[in-house]
Amino acid sequence: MIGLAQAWLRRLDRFLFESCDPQLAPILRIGFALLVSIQTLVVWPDAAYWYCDSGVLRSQTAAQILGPRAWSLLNWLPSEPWAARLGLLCLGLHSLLMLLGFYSRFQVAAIFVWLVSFQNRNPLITDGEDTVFRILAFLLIWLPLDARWSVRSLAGSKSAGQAPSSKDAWALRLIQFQMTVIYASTALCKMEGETWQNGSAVWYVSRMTDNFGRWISPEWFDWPWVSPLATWGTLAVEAVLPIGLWIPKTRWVTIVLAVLMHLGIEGSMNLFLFQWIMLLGLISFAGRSKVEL
Amino acid sequence: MKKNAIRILALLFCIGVAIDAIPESYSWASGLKAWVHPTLRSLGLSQGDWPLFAPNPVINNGVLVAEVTDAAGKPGTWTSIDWQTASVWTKFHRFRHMNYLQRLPHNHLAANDFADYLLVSIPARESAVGSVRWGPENQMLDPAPLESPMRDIKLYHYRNTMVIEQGQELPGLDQTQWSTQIRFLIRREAKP
Repeated sequence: MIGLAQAWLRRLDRFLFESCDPQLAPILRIGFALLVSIQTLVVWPDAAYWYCDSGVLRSQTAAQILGPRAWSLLNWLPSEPWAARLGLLCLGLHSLLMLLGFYSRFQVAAIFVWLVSFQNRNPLITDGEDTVFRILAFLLIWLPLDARWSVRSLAGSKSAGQAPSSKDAWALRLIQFQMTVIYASTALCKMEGETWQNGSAVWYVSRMTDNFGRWISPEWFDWPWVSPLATWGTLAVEAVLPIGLWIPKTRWVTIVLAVLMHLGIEGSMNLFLFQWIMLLGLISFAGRSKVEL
Repeated sequence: MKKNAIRILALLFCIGVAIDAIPESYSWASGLKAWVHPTLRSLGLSQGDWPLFAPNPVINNGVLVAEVTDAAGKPGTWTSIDWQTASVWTKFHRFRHMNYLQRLPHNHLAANDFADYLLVSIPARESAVGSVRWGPENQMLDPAPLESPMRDIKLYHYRNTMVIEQGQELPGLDQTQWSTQIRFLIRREAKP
């Protein structure tokens, strides 16, 4: 029994500490910081509108919607436009410093706190994309983000300049797991839907004229074979991803399929940064990681 | 010590996330989810399941319309952005507005707050159109500007749904018939 537990522990250790590519961490740092910066700039003009009591949602109402466990730094600050802007300024500043690679682990920890705060202050404007941002921020805290292409590595900082090893990159496994869970969960949810089973789901999506029709016209879906192909194709890719990403022989093919799927959705729908944060998460599977369990 | 802490953190994270993301329809997991989700929420790590157009896509095209009465008793109308005609750039930088306006009709508490916001924001921050006036010779005049503050507001959701009969084949884009359903959301009066 003890021998079995030790063997299991050795496998876990190899999985966590001996097989991840730490060189991916700086790439994730740069991509994440850029996306958070864009998010912050876009919401800046509406700071008072979304995050103040003089705007569209009172903090008391937000607390009633989310329940007592949802916390926000904004609830401890006066509900005034300057406080919302101050929070966004902090978020923007932390993301800029993270982009430059200046104590990025501290910056991303602060970004995590601000993302939770803003998302809990107004839950009506958030969606799955914000969840991915929030969880990636938490997981990036544990990675050697400043190892390359950073102010600290250029300045020759001892701790930043040391070449990181696989044992420092264990949090990449958690990012990979998080991405797997998203694809598995959405595939399971879709398999239950009648329109996903009969091949018409994407036809209905193409009729969401409010946010469909970016570069791919809804008229394309008038051809009878397009909707079944897109519907079953999406479902197949999402069902294959949670397994294919973990098998070394199929990993790259699966990544290419996922990239094509996300770019296809990006070309057809207006979903802000959702596809880009998902593509960033997929990078955790790239590199020299030996991803097999 | 550090290695043990990482092992525990990794295991707890994976178990928590895996339970939280189980689809809502899996009733056997509801007890576990009800315990895990609030705990993760306290940590800022909650996520729930990932329906993403599942189990079936819900077509949610529409606008919000508010009927207001201004200080002088004149009626006016405020309308949200019509996303169908908005540019790609507008849909990008005002994406949060799209999310908000799609969810508002399903949240009574938020609709209350939004109606209160419009009451104090029309016409200075939110533009609304007064009713058409008629001249002495029955000619149409420009609407009179609204006078703040607004006295009351009624908020409606105009939702466009497709008309497809049972067994009918999916129609082409220009053959699609739309029907507009108007749902009353809330009425608010200005506080004295």
